[in-house]
Formats: sequence, C-alpha cells, structure tokens
Amino acid sequence: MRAEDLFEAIGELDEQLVALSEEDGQRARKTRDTRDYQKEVKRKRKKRAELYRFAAIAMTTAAAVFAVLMARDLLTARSRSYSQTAAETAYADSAAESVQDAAPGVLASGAAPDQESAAMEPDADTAAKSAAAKEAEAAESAGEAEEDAVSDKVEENAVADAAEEIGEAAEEIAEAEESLRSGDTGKTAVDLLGDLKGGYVKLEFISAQDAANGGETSVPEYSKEREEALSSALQNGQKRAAMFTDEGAPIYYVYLTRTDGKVDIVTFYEKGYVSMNTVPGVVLKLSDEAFAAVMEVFEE
Amino acid sequence: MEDTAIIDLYWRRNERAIEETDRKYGNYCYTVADNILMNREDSEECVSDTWLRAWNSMPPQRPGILRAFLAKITRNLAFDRYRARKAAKRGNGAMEAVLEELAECADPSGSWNAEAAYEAKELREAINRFAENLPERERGLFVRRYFFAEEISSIAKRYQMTENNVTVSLSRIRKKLRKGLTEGGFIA
Repeated sequence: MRAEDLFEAIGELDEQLVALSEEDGQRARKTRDTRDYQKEVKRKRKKRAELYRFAAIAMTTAAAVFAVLMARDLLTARSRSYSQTAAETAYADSAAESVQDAAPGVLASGAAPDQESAAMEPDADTAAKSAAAKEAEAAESAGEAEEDAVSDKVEENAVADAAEEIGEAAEEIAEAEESLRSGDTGKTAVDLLGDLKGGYVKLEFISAQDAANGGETSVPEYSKEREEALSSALQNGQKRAAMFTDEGAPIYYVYLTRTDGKVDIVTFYEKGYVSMNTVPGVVLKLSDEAFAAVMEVFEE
Repeated sequence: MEDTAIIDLYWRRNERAIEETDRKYGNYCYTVADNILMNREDSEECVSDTWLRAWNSMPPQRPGILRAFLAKITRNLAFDRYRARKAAKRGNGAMEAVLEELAECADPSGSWNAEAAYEAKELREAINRFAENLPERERGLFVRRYFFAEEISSIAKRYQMTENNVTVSLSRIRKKLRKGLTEGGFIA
C-alpha cells in the first residue's frame, strides 16, 4: 500500500467526521478570535484608563498650578495694597506731626510770636520742602494706584481708601503750610515734658495758693534748660506708695491737655513729691536738686 | 440559501443549484483544491469539476452535510489532478510533504491491492474507525492535514499551537495509524 493509496482512502472519510473536525477547527478559531478580541478590548480599555489617568493628573496639576498662581497674584496684590496703604498712612502721620509741630506756634503766638517765628523759620522751610516732596510722592503713588485699580479689581477699595487718605494728608499739609506761612510755629510749654509729652498738646500751671483764690493758669515759656529740668525730674523720680508717704501740702498744679480735650492733673508737693490723678496710689519722689529745678520752671 | 434547498434544486434538476452552490461554497472548495494543487488555474478547474460531479451525484445521493460532501469531491478530484500532474513531473512541495508523512504508515513492498474493491472498502472503514476514536483535537489535526492537506503553519494558527507542536502531534497520530493499519493487516 502506497502513501497515495492511503491518502486516497482518507479522502473517503465519513462526511460527519469531516464536518465535526471542521466545526472543531472553526470553534478553535472562533475561540482564538474571541480571545484576541477580548485581549484587544482589554488593551484598549487599559489604554483608555491610562489616558484618563494621565488626563486627570494633568488637569489636577493644571488646576493646582492655576490655584497657586491665583493665590500668589492675590497675595501680591494684597501685600502691595497693604504696603501702599502703610506707606500712605505713615506719610499721613508724618504730615499730621508736621501739623502738630506747626500748631503750637498758634497757641504760643500770644506769648512771643515774633521771636518764635524767627526761631522756627529754617525748620519751616525744611518742612515745606519735605511736604512738597512727599506730595509729589503721594501723587506718584496715586497714579500707580490708579493703574493697579484698572488692572486688578481686588485693589480697587484699597486704592480708593489710599486716595482718600492722600487727599486728607494733602489738606493737612496745606494747613501746615498755611500755619508755617503765618509764623505760628515752634516748641511750646507742653514740650517741656520732653519724651513724656506723648499725646498732650497743652501745658498750664497754677500755684495752689492762686488756685485756692480763683486765679488763672499760666503757660510757662519753653526753653531747653526748662525742658531738661522738668522732663528729667519726672523721669528720674522714684515711685513710692502714696499711703506710706507724707507729701506735704500741694504747691503747684500742672494741667496737661490731651488731644481729645481731657485734662490730666499733676500735683507737686512741698516735700518734693509728685502725683498724677490718672495714677492713684503712687507718688514720685524727686531729688532735692530736681525739685529745685522744677520749682524754678514755675517761679517765673 | 439553506443546504436542503440547494439539494432540492439538484434533485429537481434545476441549474440554479450549481449557481447557488458556487455562491455559497465556491471559495471553500477552491481552498480545498488549492491546498493540494497549489495552482490557481488547476484549482478553479477542479472546483468546476466538483459542481459537475455534484450534479451527477444528486440524485441519487442526498448528502447529510453538503459542505463535507462537496469538500470530499473537490479533494478527491484535486488529488486525481495532482497525480496526473505528478505523472507529468509537475508536482508541488506541500503535497509531497503530506505523502512523505503518510509513507510512514504505508508499505510499498506489501501485497495490498488498492484496486481490489473489497480491500479498499476495508481500508476506508479502518480509517473511519481510527478517526472516530481519536480525541477531538487530534482528529481535527488529522483531518486538517491528511484530508484537506492543509499547511502546518495554517493548522498551528487555527489551533493556536506552535508549528513544532503540530508536527509532533501529527507524528504521534501517524504512529497510532500505523499501529491500527498493522493490526488490521493492511501493512506488515
């Protein structure tokens, strides 16, 4: 039997067997195709998931970066607004100081206007120059503020406030200049307190005797020596409890007027003690030299 | 069109039967023929011969599975054509390989007479029994390779096996066939 005979005999295989084998082959192919398809679907799904993940990460990162940039911009704008406001406030304060410096001249004009005016003229010039420079700076700041207001709404309110403050400062400067022009400037009696001046704007005194007789208060003249005497005496006095001391009788009352109009009273006693109505229970003991120097201030 | 309807057309001697068969099984039969002949012209002629043979077979035959019936006709016609071509020294490598493999199960020096109708029938029955008893996968491989003369690579792809795996499996199947044929007295 040759191979060809065998091949021919196989050709006579039962049709059922042939069909069965074919179906098996087709099933195998179908299974393979299905598996391939499933693999492909899985691969596509995985790729899609990966893409989605990358997209999500990218979007989150972009959002975070955006948020950080926004926050930074806001903070920068706010800090710029704050610094601008602070600068303008400082400027306004300095202008107010100038006004305060100038104002005592008005108060003291009754005492010796010509003399004080002459003494304060160089200072007035300097203050005027400084005020003009500050005004120029203020104008510049206002210009910048306007530009920022256009570009950033967040700064709008701050700029408006700043402009208002600048306006007020400008008014105060104008008043100060007017005051300087009239010559009402220079240190006054309240400056005798030196570093203790604080918020006081006026200093008057009266002896206990005059006070008892319904006399009027007096305003001492300012001089460097008197300031030295009064301020150093008050600064170097030793604190004592009032209940353990015998101050003696009061000899002078000093009235200190605050900016809001309230008046504090400092009392000098004959035994070298000083008390203040706002600090009850405590007295200051001045040295004999200091006490004597202070008495010279009041004994004109 | 359903196979039964096509078979009915053959039985009614309606020429549309060939048209419908060609439409439904033309490509399939061409593939079967081409596996053996490896030649487009010969394969197309083989398919045409198949339609003629089917026309002459039905009636009286009424095949249970038209597809397998047509495949069988095509395959045998293709093999006849192959043998004729081989005689004219125009053989092809693929079919040579199949026959070489089957030669392991044959016995050219034996006294078996293929012309004897009785022995041929006995052999067909033995091969059918052998194929029936093979596991599903092995039967598939056997039919694909030795009935349809399909390429090893094509079988490997169809069954998702490596070519080497298919070759080894076919070698085992041939050993079993040789054993069966020996036991049946077809070869020594």
